[in-house]
Amino acid sequence: MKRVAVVNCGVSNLRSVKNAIDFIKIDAEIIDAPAALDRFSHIIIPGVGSYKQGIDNLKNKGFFDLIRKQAAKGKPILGICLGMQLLATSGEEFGPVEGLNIIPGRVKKIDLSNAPDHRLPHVGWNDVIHTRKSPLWEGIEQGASFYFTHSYVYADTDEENVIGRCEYGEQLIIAIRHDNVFGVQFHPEKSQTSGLQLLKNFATAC
Amino acid sequence: MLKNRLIPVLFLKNGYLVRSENFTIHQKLGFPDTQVERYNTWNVDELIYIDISPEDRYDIGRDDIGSCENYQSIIDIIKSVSLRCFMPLTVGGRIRSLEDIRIRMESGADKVVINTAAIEDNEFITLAAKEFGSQAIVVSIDAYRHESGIHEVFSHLGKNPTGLTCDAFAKIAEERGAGEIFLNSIDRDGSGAGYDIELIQKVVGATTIPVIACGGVGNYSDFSKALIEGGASAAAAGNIFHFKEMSYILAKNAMKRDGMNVR
Repeated sequence: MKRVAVVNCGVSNLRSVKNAIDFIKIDAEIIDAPAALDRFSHIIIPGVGSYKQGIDNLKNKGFFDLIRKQAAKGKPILGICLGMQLLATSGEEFGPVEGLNIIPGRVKKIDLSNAPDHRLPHVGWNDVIHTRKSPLWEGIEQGASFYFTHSYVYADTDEENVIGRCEYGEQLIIAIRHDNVFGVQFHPEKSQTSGLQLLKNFATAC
Repeated sequence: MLKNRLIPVLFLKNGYLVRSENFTIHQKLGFPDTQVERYNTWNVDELIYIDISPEDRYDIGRDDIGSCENYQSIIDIIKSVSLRCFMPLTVGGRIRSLEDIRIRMESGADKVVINTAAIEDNEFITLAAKEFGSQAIVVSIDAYRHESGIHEVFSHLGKNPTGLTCDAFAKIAEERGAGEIFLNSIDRDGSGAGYDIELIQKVVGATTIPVIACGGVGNYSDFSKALIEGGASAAAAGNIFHFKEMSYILAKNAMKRDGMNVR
């Protein structure tokens, strides 16, 4: 039986992720203690806030090393928004700040030099292109939109790790995967049908 | 490409949904819960709930409407809505401290709107942005157009003049870390006369963060004007979405006809 751990590392909006997973009838629990991670088949790292704060929270609560260990053990992990960014080698926001380094890359501010009329944060629904097949995209239309709200984005990662992009000033890397670890920049828990489908895919097909 | 957003705004007063006019006349419409299914069916882009109650009392007396929940506070309302609402939820009204924000975020809000507290102490915007992330902090500007053409910012539910112009305060809000501006026109509120395009242009011109325009929508063609002529990133409205079954869908269709990129 699939059981999803939603990591509580002091960030808000945990409830939305839990509500969404409850809604699709997958067993989930918000967990405060890292030691509990072993009991779960899947891990979700949600995220809102700055990079530095995200990492500090993970370290202070003891999740930092344990998540790396779980990743190495092959446990399916999904990072959402800031949670995806924390998977990187480093982040520039109030940084440079050292990340989990599970999917090497760096997190930098979205470059709008080619689109001066665009504004930051990148807020709203944007079309997501699946650049690589993945169980995460099962049942989701190519180009279906998801909800974004961020100013920083993944960069400098192996093209093989990239499974999804969207356009905003530049071609943004907004979905990544390396073995059992996934990251999405958008908020599936806030993206209605497509988002709920993605969460279901993560919990059942990954 | 990023799509243009169309956002219904629900004003709550003492636990009831209300329609608003000039920020002073508030007609009760019913319980907020009854609207949620409709918004899910319409696949709305986002929802904004603003608590405009002047006091801490929530009316639990009405039992003449079908199933009636006994809401204790706006917090309970958010918790209930976020159980069934899988689109972004923004909550504002009576937010004075980081703790107020934290409670709302933990109850299911994705973003909060701050107004009076941000005007009285600009530093609050920065503290909030540092704690919860800029993208979660929306600063709302209630503006009144004087005959001179000046748009003045008012605080305290549109009652207190601040002496600040809309563009000057918008700049401050951005500098202090706001992620978005929620711009409301006091004089256009409930008028159906359309958005105050000049107001929107002033604030859009003074900032580089997304601006959500609100106040004055009378018909569906108003929405595109806010985006095309005003330069807003999102169009919001209260009253127009309350009275017709298909209003959101019709609004989106009108925007599509005007060439807007919407969901």
